[in-house]
Amino acid sequence: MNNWCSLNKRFGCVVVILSLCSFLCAQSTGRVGGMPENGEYQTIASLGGGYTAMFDSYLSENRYSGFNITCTYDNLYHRENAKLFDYFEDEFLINVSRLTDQAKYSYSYALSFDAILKWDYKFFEDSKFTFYTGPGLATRLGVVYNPYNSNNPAQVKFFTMFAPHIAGVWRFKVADYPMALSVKSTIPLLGVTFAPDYGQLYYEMYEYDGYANSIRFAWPLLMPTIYNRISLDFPICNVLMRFSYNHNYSFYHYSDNTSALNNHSLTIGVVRTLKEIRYGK
Amino acid sequence: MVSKKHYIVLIAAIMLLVVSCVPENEFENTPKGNFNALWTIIDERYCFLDYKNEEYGLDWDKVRKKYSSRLTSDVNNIGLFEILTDMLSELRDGHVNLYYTADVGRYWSWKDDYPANFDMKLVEKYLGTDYKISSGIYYKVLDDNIGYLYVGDFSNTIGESSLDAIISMLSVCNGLIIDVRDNGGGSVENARTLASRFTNKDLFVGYIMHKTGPGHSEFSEPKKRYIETNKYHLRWQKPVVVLANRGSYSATNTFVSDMKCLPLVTVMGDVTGGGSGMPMSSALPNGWSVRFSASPMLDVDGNHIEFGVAPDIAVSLDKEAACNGIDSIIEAARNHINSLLQ
Repeated sequence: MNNWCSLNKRFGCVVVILSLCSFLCAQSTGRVGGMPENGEYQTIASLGGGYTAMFDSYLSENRYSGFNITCTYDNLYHRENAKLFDYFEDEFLINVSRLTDQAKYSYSYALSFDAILKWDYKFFEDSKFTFYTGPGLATRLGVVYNPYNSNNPAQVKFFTMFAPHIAGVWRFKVADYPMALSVKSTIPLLGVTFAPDYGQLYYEMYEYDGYANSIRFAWPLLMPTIYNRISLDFPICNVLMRFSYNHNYSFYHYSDNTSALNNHSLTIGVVRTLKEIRYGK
Repeated sequence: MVSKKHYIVLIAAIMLLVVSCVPENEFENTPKGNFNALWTIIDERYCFLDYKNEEYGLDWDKVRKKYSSRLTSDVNNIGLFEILTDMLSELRDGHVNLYYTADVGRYWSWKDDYPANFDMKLVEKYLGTDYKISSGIYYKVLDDNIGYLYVGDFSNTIGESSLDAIISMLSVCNGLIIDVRDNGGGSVENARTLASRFTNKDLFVGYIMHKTGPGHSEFSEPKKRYIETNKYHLRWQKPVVVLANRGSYSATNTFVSDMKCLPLVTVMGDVTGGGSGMPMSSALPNGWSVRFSASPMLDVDGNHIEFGVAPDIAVSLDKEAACNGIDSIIEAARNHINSLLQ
């Protein structure tokens, strides 16, 4: 039985290593820090973890903190013959956090899924720098679950907002080793968010309001929110790696309820530059 | 090159605009901090402070003075728990609990201080051994062709097909007794599902409100509650008697209040235990969890039912009859249904 288990483990390891090798071998590094051109697109998948801090006063004033696992998946498309916006980006961020309260007595789980769609206007580019900006749409769908709270175990976190962004890429070399540092900030400015009334139970919202009264207008004075990312691209062998620091922060104060969520994470992933294949004419 | 530097400074400045600030708790994790946190949670979020002030003179500020004098900086968890539980018991609310690993702070006088008017052994005698169970509901046809349902709990999901089967099985009966004595509640949804089988139209039965701010009298406009008729399943059309006692609490209290609005329903037995506030849970800085009433439910006339719903016909359990295996409240319900048929 033991032999069978160890054989299975070895087989599993071999499969994982082979899969990883074939995946990595299929990459092309392209230009380090370069933008996709002529129908190319970049796809970046990364995984990592970090620290989450949360404050919530809907049930009672409580501060939670703990670790998170973060997964990001981004695509950057070159838009051929586009009049204004040279690129289209979609960014997806999944964050799972396990949080303990201030007294380390009880814990909660926070799960959030962020999707950011962006249109990029490249306003400066030379051999070292690229800067771009443009409009976007940021949406978050999340839930905070507290298994210790029998009456109100789950809370919904949701917003969708118009979110302009600004980004810069700096290509440089360290001892002939090409690297690229990129900085991105996305600032949701205008939209709607879900925020329950002070003391209003989800039961009442669901049964009598259909949640409609809990959807509120959001803008930075009521709900300052930001997504930041600093990334370092560097090639290893024939693979372009990306090491990123991700930070996203959201805060709101509605109807005497305050909620703040602050995520920091470090992720590492692979940048692939691929060519779009179009069929037909 | 200067312009490029400006760009970098600009981006860095944007990133620094929102510093990583998450607010700190107002209260510290000390005996005093936890005491103040609990007092404030109740002061700002508990929904019956004004009503209970009118009913029995509850003064939450005086309660703070009374119990803070018992507090010392070196009090241990057991001592702190006792002080906090005693403070909460001033609210006289079964929906108020304090939870920590070693104990659950509770107030059960809403039931313990009154006659039980219920004996499960008597109910078992009426049920015999050939009763049926569906969705946690025990039911059978009594000798005088009256259906009897014992609903001991609204925690179990009551399925529509189960109710179809029960009503179908009891359709030959002349009337129905729904016994919710000692039913401590559960989900209001389950209570509504059962009640929806006894009305042929949507029926206005009461209100629900929620607090809109920390002030004792800051409430939303009352929203009307309805029992929605179940259009697609079997509905009961004959006389019904609901049996209640002090143990009928929380969702069951609401169920009795709602059923009382139905023309074919008579509520018999004792006043229900109350518990009309939908509960919410919060936590103290030390992690202890506190449950309290947050959203009051009112009856059809807009009155609070926090201290119970009075029966249409008050009946007590006759102890002598009980010694002979007779539940005088069930017997009174049978007589009532039979009198309606004559």
